[in-house]
Amino acid sequence: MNISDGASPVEKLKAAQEKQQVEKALQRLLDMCAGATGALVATADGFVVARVFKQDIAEKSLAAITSSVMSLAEALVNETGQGPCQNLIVEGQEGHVVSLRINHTRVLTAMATRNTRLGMLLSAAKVCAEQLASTLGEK
Amino acid sequence: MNQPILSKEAIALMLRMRFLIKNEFGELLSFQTQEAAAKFCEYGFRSSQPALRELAQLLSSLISAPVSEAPRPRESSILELLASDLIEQPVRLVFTRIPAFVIDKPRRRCLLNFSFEELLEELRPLGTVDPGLTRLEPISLGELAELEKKAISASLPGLMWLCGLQFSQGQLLPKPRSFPAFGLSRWPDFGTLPHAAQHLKMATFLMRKTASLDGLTAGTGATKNEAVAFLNACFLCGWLKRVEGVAPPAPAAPKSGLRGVIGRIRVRLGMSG
Amino acid sequence: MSNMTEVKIIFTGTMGAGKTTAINAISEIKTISTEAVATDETAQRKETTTVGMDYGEVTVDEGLVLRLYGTPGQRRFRHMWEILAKGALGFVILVDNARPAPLEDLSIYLDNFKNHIAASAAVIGVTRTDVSAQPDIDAYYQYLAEREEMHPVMTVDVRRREDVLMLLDSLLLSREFE
Repeated sequence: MNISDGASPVEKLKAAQEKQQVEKALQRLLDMCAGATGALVATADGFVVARVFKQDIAEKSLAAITSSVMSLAEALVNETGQGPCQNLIVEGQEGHVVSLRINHTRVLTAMATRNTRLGMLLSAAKVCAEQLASTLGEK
Repeated sequence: MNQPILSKEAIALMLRMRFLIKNEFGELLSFQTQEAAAKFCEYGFRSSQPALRELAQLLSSLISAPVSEAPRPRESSILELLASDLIEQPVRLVFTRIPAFVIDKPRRRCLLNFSFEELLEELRPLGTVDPGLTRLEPISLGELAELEKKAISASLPGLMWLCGLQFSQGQLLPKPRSFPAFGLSRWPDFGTLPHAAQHLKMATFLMRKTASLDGLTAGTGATKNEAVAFLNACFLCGWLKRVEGVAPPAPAAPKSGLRGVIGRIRVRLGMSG
Repeated sequence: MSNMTEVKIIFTGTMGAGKTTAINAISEIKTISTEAVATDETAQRKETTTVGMDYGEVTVDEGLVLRLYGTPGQRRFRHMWEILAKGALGFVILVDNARPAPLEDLSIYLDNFKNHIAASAAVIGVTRTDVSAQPDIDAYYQYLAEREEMHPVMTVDVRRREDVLMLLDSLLLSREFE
């Protein structure tokens, strides 16, 4: 299953264009934050839009999990009256993962090694998300 | 030759019997007379086939009353009829208390000149009083095709289910009465069949365990009348299973923590019954 | 001291079959949902789809809360299925009869939750039979028999509270008489 399955030629072309734009933005993110190991943009309902990774990852499940945890984090922030949710930070033993919403239908996840400063990763991801929001518009 | 002409329903019964007898009884192929009907009865009573004996019984009760008299319809129970093999082929049922309609068992439907809801309206005031079946008329395929164009089609299991629940009067039908114990082959579709919480409980009980009538009432808290009506309804719909040998009474299991919790939830959600 | 017991029921099944609606129909609290705009085939008739979970609650009494969890429907969210399924009292599987292969849809959930269902119970609610009458309920039972499984199968309209309660009750009774 892919986002462009069953789409019209025009839609396929648009999806290919978006993939290119997003890949460029993700590459800039990796360039900006030296410790970043990869980044991915998913649709809010869990499909891969584009990804740039230094090593192999299971991109499809990462996209789906990104959409799940982003939605759960938003529910958590809303239920506790702290909303709206700005970003999601997960610190693992081996590294950090951050997720942000780009717009209504796109979510960004980026990850970096343990030695990377969390603030570096987060600000690079924010810049990337803002750039993409203005390129892609409010979908 | 001048014997009274047999009623339509008697002829229908003989046709049905002839079908079961097949060619063994060739000389009775002419069956327009009382005499022929009497021979059919005699043959039927001696038969080893229960279906034939049943038909002979019906036929004999039909011809014992002179047909030339003003029609005094004999009422037979709608439940017995629905449980019998007299409705294997499409037939029209004629009643004293409700409008006639057609049962088409091969296609699991009834054909009505009115909506199923109207049929329910007709049945409701009768309470547990049987609608009074007076006769059944076989329907030819041609007639069936005609009916299809104008009649309303309703689900036969739906009718069977309702009649079982409503007209059982505390009596198990003869066949299930002979079952040592009961099981079910599937849950009735309570999404479409009218039901009470008790029916879901009995169905689930018989899907998970097997039980005699007493075991069913003891295990679910249903009354005997409720259980009988439920068993008859399931039998008519073809979901009741004969189970050999009564299952040993379940050991009085102490109410586990889980059972207690389930009981509380069911009470809270208004399901206790 | 009151000892709070929590009982968990899982609503799962095909996307768009009405899991969120079913939980809404009986929950006492405002249902928490994690909907996202759908970009796949669901988008044809439903604008959003559950990507995390739905959550609703019924307070039974002082010491007992019934928790209702809805899972996402699509297979790519199976990471959520496993997280949510743990320790459930039972599974309500909703199948959209108007989709191309409802029995195949059903098999996804029976397979995925196989071990959990074997340890608890399941009930199958068939929705949208008004749009497509086939497969009929007999076909569902036949399919279950082929799998050597037996669960209640009921036609439902999950917008109706009594239909959802009926599914829940057959699940509870299945556990009671196990």
